[in-house]
Parts: sequence; structure tokens; C-alpha cells
Amino acid sequence: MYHPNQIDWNQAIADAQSTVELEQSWRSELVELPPVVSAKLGSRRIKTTSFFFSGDTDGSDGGQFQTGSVFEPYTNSTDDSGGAASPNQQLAKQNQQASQQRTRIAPPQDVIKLEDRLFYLLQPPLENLLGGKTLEFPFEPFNFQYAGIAFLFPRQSAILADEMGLGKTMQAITTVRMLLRSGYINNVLLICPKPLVTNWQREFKTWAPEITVAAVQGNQHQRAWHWKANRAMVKLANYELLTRDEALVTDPEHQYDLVILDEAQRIKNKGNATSLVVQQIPRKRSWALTGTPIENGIEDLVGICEFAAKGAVTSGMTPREVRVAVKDLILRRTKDLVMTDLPPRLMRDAELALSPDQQITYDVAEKDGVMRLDDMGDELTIKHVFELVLRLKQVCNFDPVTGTSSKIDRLKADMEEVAASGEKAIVFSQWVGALEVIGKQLPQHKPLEYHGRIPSRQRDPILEEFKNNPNRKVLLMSYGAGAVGLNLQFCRYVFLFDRWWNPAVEDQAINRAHRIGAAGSVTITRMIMAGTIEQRIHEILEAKRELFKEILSDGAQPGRRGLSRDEIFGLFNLTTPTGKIVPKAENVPPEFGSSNAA
Amino acid sequence: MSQPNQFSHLPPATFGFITVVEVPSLGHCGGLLIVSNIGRPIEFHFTTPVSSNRAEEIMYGKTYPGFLYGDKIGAALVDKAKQLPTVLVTDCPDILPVCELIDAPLLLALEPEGSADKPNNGQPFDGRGLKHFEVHGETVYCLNASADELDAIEHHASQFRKQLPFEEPFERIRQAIFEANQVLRSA
Repeated sequence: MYHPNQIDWNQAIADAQSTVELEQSWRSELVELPPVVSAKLGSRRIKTTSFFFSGDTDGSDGGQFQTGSVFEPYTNSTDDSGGAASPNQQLAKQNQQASQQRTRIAPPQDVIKLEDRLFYLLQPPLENLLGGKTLEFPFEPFNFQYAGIAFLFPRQSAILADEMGLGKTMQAITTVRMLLRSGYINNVLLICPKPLVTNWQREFKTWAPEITVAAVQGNQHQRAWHWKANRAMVKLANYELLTRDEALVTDPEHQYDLVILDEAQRIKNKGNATSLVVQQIPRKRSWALTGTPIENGIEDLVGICEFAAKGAVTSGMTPREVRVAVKDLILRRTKDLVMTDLPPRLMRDAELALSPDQQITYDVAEKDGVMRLDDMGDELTIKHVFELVLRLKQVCNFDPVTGTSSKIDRLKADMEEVAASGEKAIVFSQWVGALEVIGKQLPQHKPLEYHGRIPSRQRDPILEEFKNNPNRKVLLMSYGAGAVGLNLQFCRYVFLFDRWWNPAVEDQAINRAHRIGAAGSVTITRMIMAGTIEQRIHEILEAKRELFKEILSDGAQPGRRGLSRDEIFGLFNLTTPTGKIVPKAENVPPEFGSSNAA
Repeated sequence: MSQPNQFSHLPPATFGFITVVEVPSLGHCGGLLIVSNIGRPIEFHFTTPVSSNRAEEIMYGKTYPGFLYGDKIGAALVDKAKQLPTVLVTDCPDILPVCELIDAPLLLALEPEGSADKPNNGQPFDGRGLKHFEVHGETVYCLNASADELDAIEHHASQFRKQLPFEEPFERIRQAIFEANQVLRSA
């Protein structure tokens, strides 16, 4: 051990210095500092995207609408009456009991901007929008109807092609109501066949009582005033007016936020005068409502698309191309698909034999007629064949000389049963004359007539009388006047006294009775005279009907529905000594494929 | 007709629904939807996908989900909101830390079968008083509110729940985020 006095300080300091130097050298050579890695925590910036939506935030009416009569919302209603609930109500109850349905408004494919797409996606479900305190309904819509509303709501171009009786009217009105309420549209032009104007007015009163509706009618000056006036949210006009009021309805100064065409098959021929006017109406949104978007072929759809979505479907497109093109444009549901609770539709083909008088007349008429056609050789046109077909069909209804008719005998017998069971029936015929004859044969059932010769203003009272007077058991209707838009679901029997050329028109006629609210099963009796032209037409139409079922379903090929020229000629075996007659090309008479019945 | 109650003088409430959605192969996307008292959209904000950071995961440990969802994604969302919602609602317990950043009560509405996710097994959350009440049979946890405010919050929640279930706006957020990612990816 060292004593402090023994330390040689000079030596020690010198040693220490060398020691420090040594250490520094050692450190620098042997001991490197460990590398340090610093992790930056939580410094990442997160990018956000924001959208702001305008509109009311408190759920009030916004003062835009003055609510008229107020319906109790269905969910608050009780069924204390002991009466049977309507099918609508029954289904609504099932809806309530089922797990809560949420129908969302999906943005259409042609909405590209993200902001616009999100606007639709971020809306609350339709059930909540409609069930809220601001929109009240007489009945809870069906689930498929919510889906239809969600389809229409965001679309500038749309074709609602539900089968007849599924409530296209209600879906259109409700969507219009929502769009008006939310301020997306302010004025609407709705165009429908003339006989349906009052029907639309009634439906608006039921489903949207607060929406003001004005029908364009009267003489030229009155109509001009209606076209220019802006007092109603919805203007109702009929197709027949359009060509007469072309300058007014196509006035570029007056743009409609929405134009709706009801029974849009009326414009399937894109070149006809009405179609040309419709295409020119200044508008932002175009909707077409039709139960039969394709009656005869793809060209029908081309015509409707000229209005609804110009250029979406064009002549010459293949069925596959059409299917792709209309995927986001057309919504079609059938009763089989959505209305599993709808009472059954019982089709009954009454194959009858001609009465002896009819048989004699028919044979002579057919033999003479075919001979005449054969004699015409190259001069033969489809019109000549058509005339013979009509002549034979009339004989199938009544013998022109004696007036005997197997059909009327059968109808009388069936009507006895219908009346005895307290029910009512509708009888359809192609000819007003035939309806008048039938009427005279059924005096005990106090028949009412509804056809093209009845002035429009008298038609609604006839329907009311038929509905409310228990003694009125039968309504005699022509296909043209009674095929579309009318609600006669209290009727459980329909008779097709003769057959229309186009199954779509027959279906529309049948669906006057077989629709939502039908009181029970609906029995449809199609009268067909065995071994006659009627049976031949029936077989062709049945094949067409089957084909049409496939037209708008996946994997199906669109085809024709009416009778083609070859089919019409094929009704008779027309030959000459040199072989089969090849008819001259000529336009098919409109009656063959059209829905424009008498 | 309903009787006026002690809350009838209150202005209509707005609700902010905030959640985080995991987008496969992209990461976590946050969404904030502010709606009116009847569920109509007023504002919508969403984040770009955020992927987990391994270093942060290690360093934050168990607190990482709360950090990522609440302090980062949630904070970015509420920062963008122009309107302070009357009540903020979430279905995601990990986003609860966002309540530190916003002056509004935060409700945690879990799916009925999601009881396993109850914060702290139903115990008071982090000592900050996670109260709870029943709305239409659903248990709702409330954070960031004093006892005095609780009745009014319960009233607002109940009024909204009459219109829509709480999970519904979250469905909208998820659909919108899915749509936005699709559109942005294809752009």
C-alpha cells in the first residue's frame, strides 16, 4: 500500500496522461458505440375524403307540401273490424313479422361520380324513408314494390316492366312523391292512354294526396292554358293529344324534370307520329312503364328506348347485346316470382264444337275463301288472308244467318253459375258488334258495356255501377278499351269470347281481374271452337306465350310474340299447281301484332 | 299524440356514426357518417386504408388498437367534421379513445351477440365512467358524459332508435367504404 507521501506525483501525472491516451486509443480502436435506430411512432398522416350533403336535417316537411287528407300509417292500424284483411294488409303483416327488410337505393351504372354514388348509398333504407312521419300510405308496400321504388328513384332513364297487376302505378307515384318531397324534381309530365287519365287521378289521390295533379284536357285554348300553366306538380296528358299539341308539349322553354310514359308500348314504333313527339319533349328524366316491353320483337324495345334511353338499344343488335344493354335499364318482375300469395289464376280452355248452322256456314266460308286466295296467285297479300281469318272468326262467334252460337250457349250456362254464387264476370271480345249481341242474350244479368264506342266521360260511371250494383253481374268489354290500367279485382271470372292475336293483350285483359287485391282465385275461360281457325291460332299463341316467358329471363332468347307473316299464311295451306304460294311482301296489318285493339 | 316531456324543447339531434372497417389486402379504413335525427346523411368522411405498422404494434402493445383506431383514424375523421354531432355512436370498442378529442358524448352500441367485446368485460371503462342504459332492449354504453347529461342522451338515443336500429348506419358506412375503394381502385 502506498503512503501519500511516497507517491511520486510527477510520475503519476505522467502515467495518468499516458493511461488516458491509451484508453482513448483503445476506445477508438476497439470499442465502437452501438448503432441506434429510432422508430418514429404515430407520425403517419392519415388522408381523409369528405362529402357534405344538403337537405333537411330535422325530418320535417319543409313546408313544401300541404298535406291533405291523412291516412293512418298501416303500422298503426288495427284490424278490429273482424272483416277479412286485404291481401295487401295480410302481406304487410307478414312483412312486419319477418326480419326487418332494408331496401337500399343502389346507384345506377351510369352514375359515375363517387360523390353521386355515395349519395345514394348513404341514404337510409326506403322502409324508413317511407315509414317516417313525413310519408304516410294507405297500405304498406310489398317488398318487391320497395325494390321497384329503389330502382326508379336514382334513375334518369328507366323502364319499369313489371307484369300487369304488380302495382307499377303505385311504384311510380311513390317514387314521384319522394322525388318531389326531396326537391330533386319539381314538375312531372305523365302521359297515358286516354281512358286511363281518370284512373291515374284516382291513384294519385290514394297514394299521394298532397301532390297536385292537373289533367290536360278541353278545347285547343283550354289545353294551351293547361300546357303553359305551372300550378300543378304533375300534368296528366293522353297520347292522343300529343300530336295535336306538339308545339306546346315540345316547347323548349318548358323543360320537365320527369316525363313518365304509361303503357309505353304505345311508342314501340319509333317512327310513328306520337313517338316522334314524345322523343322531342324537353326533359331531364325519362321513365317508361309497360307490362309488355317486347310484344313482337326487339324492335319494340328499340322504340321505347328512343324515349327512355336513346341509343341504348338499336336495330340490328343481337339478343345477347340487347340483354346486356338493358341490364341496368329495365326492371321486370312477374307474379310467379314475387306474388306467391296472389290467388291462383285458373285457365280453362273451353273447346266447343260449332253449332250445326255455324258448321255449315264455316265450311262454306273456308272453302270459298281458300279457293279465292288460291286463285289470286301472285297477287295474294297478307291482307287477303287476314280478311278471311276475320270472317271465319266471326262465324266462330255467331252464325251470321241464324245467330246460333255454341259460345253463347256455353256463356249463358256459365253465367248462371257465376251469378248463383254471387260473383261477377267480365266478357272480352274483339268486336263491339259481338259484345252488343252478347248483351242482348244475357238480359237477366243486366250487362254493362265498356268499349270504344262509349264516350270517355261515361266510362268511369259504368265501372262504378258494375262495382257497386250487385245486380250487374257481367261487364262486356272490348280488348282495346278494357285491356289496360283498369282495376277490376273484385271480379273472379273472365271469359275470352274470342281470341286476340297477341297473348300480351289477352294477358292484360285477364289481369284486370287477377291483380293485387284479387278477392280469390280468378277463373279465365278461353272459348275456342275445335277444328277451326281459332284452334290453329290458339296453338300458335300458346307457343308464343311460352317463348315470351323466356324473353326477359336469364339465358333466354328474345323472340316475336304476335303472328308473323309466315305464321299467318301458315294458317291455311295455300298452294298452286306450281307449288306453295309465296306471298308478296307487305306490312303486317297492325292488328296482328299490336295492342291497339278496337 | 305524444305528451310533451322535459326534452321536447331540445332541438333535433344529429348523430355521428364512427367505425373502422378492415378492407382485405388494403388495411383499416375509418368512416364517420353524420346523420339527421331521421337518419338522412349530412356529412360523410372516410380515410384511405391504413395498414398496421409492426414497430408500432410492438411498442404500443395492447394499446395499439386503441391508438390506431382512436388516436389516429378516429382523430383524423372527427377533425374533418364540420358539424359537431349531438351524440357520437360507435360499434367498435377500440375507437373509444377518440372521445378525448371531441366534445360530445360517445355511445358504444354493440351487436347483441357481440357481448364478448364488452369493454373491460362490462366493468367501468378506464375509470372514466362508462355508464350504460337500455334503448329498445339494447344495452348502450356511454362515455364522455356527465350524469346530468345522461337522461337527455338517452332520450336522443331512444328517439333515433325508433327510426332505425343503431347498426343500420354502420352498414351504410361499410357499403360506402367498399364502394369508394372500388371506385378509387379502378380510377
